[in-house]
Amino acid sequence: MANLFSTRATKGLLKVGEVYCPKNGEFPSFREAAGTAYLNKIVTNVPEDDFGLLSIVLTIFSFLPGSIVHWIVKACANAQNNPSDGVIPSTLRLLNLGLKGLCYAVYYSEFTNPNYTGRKPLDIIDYHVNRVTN
Amino acid sequence: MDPHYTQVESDMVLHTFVKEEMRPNGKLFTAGCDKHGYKWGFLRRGQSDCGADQGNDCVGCLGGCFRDSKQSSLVAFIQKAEKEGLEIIAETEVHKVEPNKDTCKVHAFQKGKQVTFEGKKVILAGGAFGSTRMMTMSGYKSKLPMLGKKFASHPQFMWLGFQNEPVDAHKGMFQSVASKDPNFRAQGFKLENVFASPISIGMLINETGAKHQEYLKKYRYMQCIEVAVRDENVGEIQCDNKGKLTIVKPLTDQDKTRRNKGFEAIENIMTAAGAYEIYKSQFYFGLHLMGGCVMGTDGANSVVNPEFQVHGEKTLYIADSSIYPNAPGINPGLTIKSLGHKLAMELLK
Repeated sequence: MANLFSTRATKGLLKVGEVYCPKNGEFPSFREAAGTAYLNKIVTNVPEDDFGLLSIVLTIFSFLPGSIVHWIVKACANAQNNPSDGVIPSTLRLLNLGLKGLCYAVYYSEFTNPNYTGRKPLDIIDYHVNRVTN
Repeated sequence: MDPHYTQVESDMVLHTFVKEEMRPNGKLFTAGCDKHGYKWGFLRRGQSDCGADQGNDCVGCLGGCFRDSKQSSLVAFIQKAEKEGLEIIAETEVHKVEPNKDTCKVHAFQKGKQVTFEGKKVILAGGAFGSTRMMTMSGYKSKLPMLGKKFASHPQFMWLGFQNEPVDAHKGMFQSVASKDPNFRAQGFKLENVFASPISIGMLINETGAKHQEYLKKYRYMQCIEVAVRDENVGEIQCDNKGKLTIVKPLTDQDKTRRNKGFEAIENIMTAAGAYEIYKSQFYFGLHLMGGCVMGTDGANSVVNPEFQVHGEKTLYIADSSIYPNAPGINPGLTIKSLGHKLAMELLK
C-alpha cells in the first residue's frame, strides 16, 4: 500500500517544520515555502511500519501546542548532541533524524510550494548546481 | 586475492585524480595537511566520465549517478552479465531460502504473490542487512549463533570550516584527495575531503530555526572534512519474525578514541587553512555496512566458510559485505566485487 500523509499528519509536519525553518529575514517560513504536495513522493520508499510511526508522531504534533513541539524538538537535538545509550535517547535520535530529514528535504529542495512566489531557500543560500547529462 | 582484484579492476574504468582537478575544498585540505606534515594523496575512483569539463557538478551524484559514470556493479558488471544471459527479476523480495542436498529453493513475494525459485546453487548478495535478514528469516539464527553479529560500519563524522571567501565545495568534481598518512592509519582513522547537498549539510547542524538558517546561508563558504573510523565490529543486526531490522551499534571506547584523534587532525587542518570558525558536528552515520554473516572456519564463530558456503549447507552461498569478519578501514566496494569474482571462478571450476 502506498504511503500517504493524512491531512492531520501534514498539519503536524507544518507545525514542526516551523520550529526547524521559521520565517527569518529573507528565509520564508516552512509553512510558506514547503511543497507539501510532494510529501507523498518523498516517502514512497519508506518502509510501511516506519512511515506509520512517523505519521502517528506528526498527527500527535498537530494537536499539541507549538511550545510543546518546540520542547520535543529541543530534546531530540540534545539527544543527538550528547549521545548516550538507552531506549529513550536512541528513540529521540531516531525522531531527530526523521523529523529533520523530512523537513529539510522539503524546505531545501526544488520541490517548494508552487503557490509561493518569493525567493526560495536554495536561492537564498545561493545553491545552484549544473547537471550535465550524457 | 590478487588475481581477482586485477580482473575486477580491468573490468572497470578507474580514474586517478590529478592536481588540475582539485577544487578549493581539496586545496584547503592539502594546504592544511602540508602545514602539519600530514601525508595526503590523490584518490583513485571508479568513474568513467563525470563531465566536470562540461560544467557538471558532481555533488548531485550523492543521490545516484545520473550519468552512469560511477562504476557501480549495476553499471560495470550487471549489464555485461545480462549480455551473457543473466536475467534480472525485479520487485521480488526474498523471505526464505531452503537448501537441501542437491538444490536450494528461494521463496519470495512478487507484487504480493508468493513465488518460489529453485537452483542448483543459490548465492545471497543482499549486503549486510539484506543477507542477514534473509538468513534470519530462514531460521538460521538457532543453528548459527553468530548470524547478525560482528556488524561494523566505519562511523563517519563531518566537520565544517568557514572561510572568508567562497569555497563552493558543491561545484565541479566532488572529491579528489584524501589522507594517506600512515600515522592516521595506525591510529585507526582516515580523513576524506567530502561535501554534500544542503539537505545533508543541514543534518550535520544541530541548532534549529534561525541559527540553523544562518549557518546554511554560509553554505558556499564551507570547507568540509570527514573522519572515517575503523571501528570495532561489536554491532548487531537484529531481525524480528516479520523481517523488520533493528541495528544495535554503539561506539566503543576505542572507536571514540580513534574519532577524537581524527577530530584533532581536522581541527589542525582547518585552522591552518584559515577557517575562522569550525562547526564540530556530532552527527554521524555509517556508509560501509559490513558483517552479520561473517566468514570463518566453524559454525560457532561464523556463518560462512572460506569457500563462501553457509556452514552445513552445500547449495547455499553468500558473497557480499556481510561476510567481512571485521572493518578494513577503507572503502569495501572493490573487495566486495573481488570476493564475488573469486566465488564465481570457484563455481565455474
